[in-house]
Amino acid sequence: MTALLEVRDISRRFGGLQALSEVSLSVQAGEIKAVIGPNGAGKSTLFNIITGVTPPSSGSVWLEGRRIDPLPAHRRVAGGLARTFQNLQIFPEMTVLENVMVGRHARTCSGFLAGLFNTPASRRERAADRDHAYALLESLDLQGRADALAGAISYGEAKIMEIARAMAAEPKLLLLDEPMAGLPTGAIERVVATIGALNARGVAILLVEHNVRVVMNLSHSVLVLNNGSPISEGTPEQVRGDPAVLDAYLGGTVHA
Amino acid sequence: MTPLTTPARPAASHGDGGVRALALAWAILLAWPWLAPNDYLLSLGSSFFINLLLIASLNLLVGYAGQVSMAQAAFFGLGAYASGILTAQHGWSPWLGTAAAMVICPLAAVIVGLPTLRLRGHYLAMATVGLNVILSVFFVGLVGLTGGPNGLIGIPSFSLGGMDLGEPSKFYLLAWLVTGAVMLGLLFLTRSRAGRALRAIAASDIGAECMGIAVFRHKIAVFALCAAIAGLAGALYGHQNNFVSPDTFSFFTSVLLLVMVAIGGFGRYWGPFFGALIYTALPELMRAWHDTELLLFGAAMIVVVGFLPGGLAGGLARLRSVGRSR
Repeated sequence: MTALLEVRDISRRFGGLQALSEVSLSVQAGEIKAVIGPNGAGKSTLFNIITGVTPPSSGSVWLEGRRIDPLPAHRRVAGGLARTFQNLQIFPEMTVLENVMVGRHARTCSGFLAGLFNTPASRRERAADRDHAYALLESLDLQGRADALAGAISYGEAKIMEIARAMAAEPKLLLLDEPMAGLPTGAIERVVATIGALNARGVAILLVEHNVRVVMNLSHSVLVLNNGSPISEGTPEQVRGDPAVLDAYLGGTVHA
Repeated sequence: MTPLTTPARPAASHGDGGVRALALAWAILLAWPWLAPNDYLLSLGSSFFINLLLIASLNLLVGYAGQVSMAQAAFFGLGAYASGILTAQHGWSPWLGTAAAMVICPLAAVIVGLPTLRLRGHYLAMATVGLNVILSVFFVGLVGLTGGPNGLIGIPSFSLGGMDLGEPSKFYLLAWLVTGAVMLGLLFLTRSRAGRALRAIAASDIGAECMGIAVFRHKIAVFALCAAIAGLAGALYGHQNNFVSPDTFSFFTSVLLLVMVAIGGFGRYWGPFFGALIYTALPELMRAWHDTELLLFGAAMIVVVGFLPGGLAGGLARLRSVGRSR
């Protein structure tokens, strides 16, 4: 069976810095996979290469057996990848509901002229997008903020909103870039519950995360990067017991 | 995707309030030909519509989509000269000339946009400065075609089935109708899927691209649409005055139009109404003090940018919401 996502021998060099060397990973349908590693390990670069924000220096990316690394980022969304951002890429002047409606872009098709002439198709799509986005906000318990400006909500709410916005694209694989970074404990629990709920609906999830304890409890499998190279891969139990990981990353201090 | 939860209850639907307000404004504007005390003030009303087309389309590009153009006057002029030359020298009907202006201007926009909009940053702003300067040189220099610094004369008025629409009250109605249709279209567009995509692009190129938006294509499309509307405004202007001269379309006009977008409020639908009102009325009011309107526009720009980030439209919206919450 082909994996949902297959990353093969990805390398990326920025000037003199080898950010990633020969990284491979795969995500199976329905799986929660985590990529962990210390700062500068190349986690975000890997994410940007998978989603098309950064081109790789070499290697390939495959989604459901189709090669996607030559495609621009927006085409990959249509193919079934959607992501959130470590440093948030929200649309602050739009409401929370509108932000999530933007996430529907890859699943809708009315264009400029349809909008200009307010065609029935354009009207129908707008109404359907709004319903879909609102239902998503409800399912993530954010409907109370639907009409707030995205620039005015809390950091934790913005993180959830980004997840809702990514889900609006009906992805097969949801990529979460440090979804818990900078959040207070209560908000972390909310994100964990959200990820669990989405996965229960059949969405595969690839996440980059600093919070090792959470990752170990949540993920089905873990890839550990250090200095741009994979040093360990396996179930959370296997990774936790791997001396290379304890040595390079955990430093033997985490007993989750 | 599986059905999510309970049937969706959309939040406060951004219903047809905008359409009703626009219809009301247009109903009021319809009265002007009967209220205006003389033909001069009546034709100022037509100028208001033309300026509104220029400022509203620029607002779509700069305010909504976040792409700064310094060449709005160049497209205005290109439209005016294109339709003017085709009608005055080649005998085209003004309607066809206007249509040609609305094809030529977006073509020019695409040619400028293709190399510059691909890049992130201020490349479009810089390239459009160049475009405006170059077109201004052409308007002055191509004497055989444009009449040079003396301007292009003999541009015919619109006519419909033998009726001359050059007469001020009839031209007013034409401008009223055309501008109303464009403003309605812009209202629809800003609320549509494409409009949401433009606002997303203004906030974050990468964020928009990762939502599945073809950012480059959207930038090209909105720049072309902005140019088409500016070209329409130019054609209307030429056929209204039966004459165009190159200094109307200088780089300086482009800057002033951008200032008017700012004063009205970037990305505010009603902002250009204020911008166009000020842009049309102020030079007339300040006629006695020659050139002081420039000083006033400059000062207004500083005040708006410093103290009223949403422009006049944003300030009014805030006042309204304060009033409501009391």
